[in-house]
Amino acid sequence: MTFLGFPLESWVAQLYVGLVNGCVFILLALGLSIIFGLMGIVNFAHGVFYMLGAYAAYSVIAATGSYWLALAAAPLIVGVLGLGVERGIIRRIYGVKNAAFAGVLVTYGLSILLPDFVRMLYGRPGKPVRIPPELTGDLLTIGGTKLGAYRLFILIVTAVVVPLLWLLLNKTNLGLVIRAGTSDSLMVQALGINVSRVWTITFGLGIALAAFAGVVTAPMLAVSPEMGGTILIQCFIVVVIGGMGSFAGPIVGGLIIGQVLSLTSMVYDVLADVIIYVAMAAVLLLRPRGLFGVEGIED
Amino acid sequence: MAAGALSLLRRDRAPLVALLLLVAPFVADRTPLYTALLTEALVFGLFALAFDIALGHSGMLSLGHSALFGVASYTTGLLLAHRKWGVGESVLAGMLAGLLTAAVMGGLALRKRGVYFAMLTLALSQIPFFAVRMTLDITGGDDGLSGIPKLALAFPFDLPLSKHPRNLYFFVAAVVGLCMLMVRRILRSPFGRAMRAVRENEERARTCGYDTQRIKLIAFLLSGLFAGVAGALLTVLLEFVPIENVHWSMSGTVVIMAMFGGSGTFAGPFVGSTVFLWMKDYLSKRIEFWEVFVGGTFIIIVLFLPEGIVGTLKRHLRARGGPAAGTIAASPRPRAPASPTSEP
Amino acid sequence: MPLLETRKLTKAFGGLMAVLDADFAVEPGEVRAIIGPNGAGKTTFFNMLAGNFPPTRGQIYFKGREITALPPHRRSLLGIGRSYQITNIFPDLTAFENVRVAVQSRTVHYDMWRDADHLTDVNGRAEEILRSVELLDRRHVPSADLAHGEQRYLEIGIALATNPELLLLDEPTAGMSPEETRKTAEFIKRIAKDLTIILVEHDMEVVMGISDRITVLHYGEVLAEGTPEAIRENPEVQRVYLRA
Repeated sequence: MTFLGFPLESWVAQLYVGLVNGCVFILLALGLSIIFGLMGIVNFAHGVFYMLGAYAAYSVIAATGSYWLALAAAPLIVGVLGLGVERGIIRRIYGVKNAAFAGVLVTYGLSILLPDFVRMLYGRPGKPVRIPPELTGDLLTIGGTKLGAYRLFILIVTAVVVPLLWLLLNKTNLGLVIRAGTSDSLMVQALGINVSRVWTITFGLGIALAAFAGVVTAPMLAVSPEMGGTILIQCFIVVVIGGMGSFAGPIVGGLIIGQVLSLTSMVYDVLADVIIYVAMAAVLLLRPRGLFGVEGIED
Repeated sequence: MAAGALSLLRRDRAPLVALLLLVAPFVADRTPLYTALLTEALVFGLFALAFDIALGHSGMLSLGHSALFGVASYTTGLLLAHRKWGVGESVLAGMLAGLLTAAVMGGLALRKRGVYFAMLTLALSQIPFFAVRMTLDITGGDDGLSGIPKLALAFPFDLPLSKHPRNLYFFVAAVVGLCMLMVRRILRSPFGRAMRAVRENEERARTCGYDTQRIKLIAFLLSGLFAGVAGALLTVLLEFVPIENVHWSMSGTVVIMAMFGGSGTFAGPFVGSTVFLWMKDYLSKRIEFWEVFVGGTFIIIVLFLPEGIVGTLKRHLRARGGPAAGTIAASPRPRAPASPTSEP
Repeated sequence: MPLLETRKLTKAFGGLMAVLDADFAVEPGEVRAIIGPNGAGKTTFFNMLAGNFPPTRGQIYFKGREITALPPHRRSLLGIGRSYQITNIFPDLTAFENVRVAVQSRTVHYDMWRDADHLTDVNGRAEEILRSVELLDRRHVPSADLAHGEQRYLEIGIALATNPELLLLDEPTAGMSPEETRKTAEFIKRIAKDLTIILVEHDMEVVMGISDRITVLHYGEVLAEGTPEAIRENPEVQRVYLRA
């Protein structure tokens, strides 16, 4: 049985791949959205921290041999780096006129600076990160495509992390302050809560998510200093389509983009990259705030 | 007589600039800024000025100017290589290509404002990049567009360009100089003031009766037009179109140039392009990881010298008691933040 | 015919009725004050008149023509000017340029050829307005550097510069000293001879002193409307808002 000239099994396989790619986008887009939601900063260095997560994983594995340790440690390491970046660099733009632009420019500057640092430390060619032995091997073969266990791992991990994140934002005091800070930081400040610390933590959290996405993707892709570039732009498309300012937006956007990329790469490979930009243009024309965007965000 | 000349200079710096441009190539080869570098600095200076029409003068941060620049470069290149057009027509076509690309990009991206607009320009600018890759039979793909024949100017007089750096310089200087005059005219005009009002306070400009969406679009079109000229000129200069012209890193380069020199000033983009190109030329031969240097300098400028070189100089000169200037680059005013990036 | 009229104007934010079924009409030449306790919906109503919020229901008419869906810049071109409660000027431009650019909006501002400094009529009018708000000697100062009271005057100046028939003033005396408040009230009285004015105000002395009529809002609805004396004696208004 075929559809559009491709056997059904191939479609199922590609849907699965798309779902897994979507997971990576979800993790990245949520981090971006959290930072933007509270701080109004669109983090142009988000892709670079994703890349740093992958490199941190490489180093941890090189030092300890354990991927599992890397999975836990790398996001922490990069997250702490993110805290430092916020304290040392980002916070200098708060309150400045045109602060949002300054945020773009500063994070953009980081996205030029940090990859070259990485090249200095690790060299220009990429580094290999292997799938941990427990997760190698194929689970199933559908339509001639082998679906590895590692992809399922990504799916599971995302399915665990996302609800945890939701719980953090909606059921904890920290999350309450983050969400309150989004709507009224002055009030939050008046209540005696150290808002600037919340900003630092929020930024660190968003960065840690990006790094986590990097660790998780590392065994599947080429880990190179440039790996943050294209994915950043794709991430922007995810939040444009899904909508920023909500929790559902990045998730829905990530799933959609993951699928669009996966399916078009099967059906009409050449167009695969461009199609997401066309989709973005369509969303802009028909529903500028995105599918689940909060109305009035930067319109 | 000297007093008369001095007061003329204060009122209109164009003759001085023209003089500098005329004399430069004869002096340049003895300085670190040799003629070819200077020519490139003029082209990129125009590009940065075009970019700054959107940012410094209208308040729109575009991160997709590589599309405007690159599409123009390729248009000019294709016409020169495949259609054997003349230099003048090809440059004009490049200019139009920049304008049209700006129309499409602006039409879509201006549905949003501020940083969201910036993100959109970045994403949209990817389309020409992929288009170039997808049509590699015509464009050469990653290898760039070659096959441009020896170039010579036919009108207003015969002037060989290929392999004649000085001729190239004068051709470029003439075109860039003309563009500079045009931009200056626009900035001083009622429309230029309208652009500035939109930059300063879009909401208030609207309440005053300005159709700010239309003004922004037109400003973006102007930005695209001049970026197109710059892209076309680079093709003439290099006799080649590298794919980097249409890559998003080119958008970043022009932002850096504009910020280095001073956004919102007229000389800033040219100072910025010269400094950047010199840095790239000088440092990349000596330091392997010179981008760390550039990125670091950029961050320092954004944080501590947001007015750039020219802007900061202007501020210091003004503080010594000159008349209040009409055009002022956006300057930081630290105030207690409500949210880190909301206007207080 | 009323200069400005609203019929059943309503604004709902989710379930909250900020303004409900407001019927409102202002005659040419009138000075109308809108008062009410905090949260009464004055700002929301005002912003609907200015075109910042689309109403949920109802219509707005200006000189008999419906303007409900018209964006702010079109309203300005029709002759509605507006000042802001929180000063909303062009910070890095000089006081003169603030006003000049507002005056310029009435002319062909897509002109890219002429020098803006050579528009003599525009410059002249800008000077006139600056003089009337007593800021002519501060013309070269970047407006962000002006004192608060001066900025409030500039705020009104910019609104006047667009040559409006109807002027919407949002708490013009906000943050002013008693002396400045008195002067502002006198100023408004002077310009009211040639304009129609709707103002939102908290300062009761100002309101009573310069208004021809007063509209009182309460929980989004029009509670009462009438002359200052009538409002002052209205028992409901007294209960809700004024002290006897």
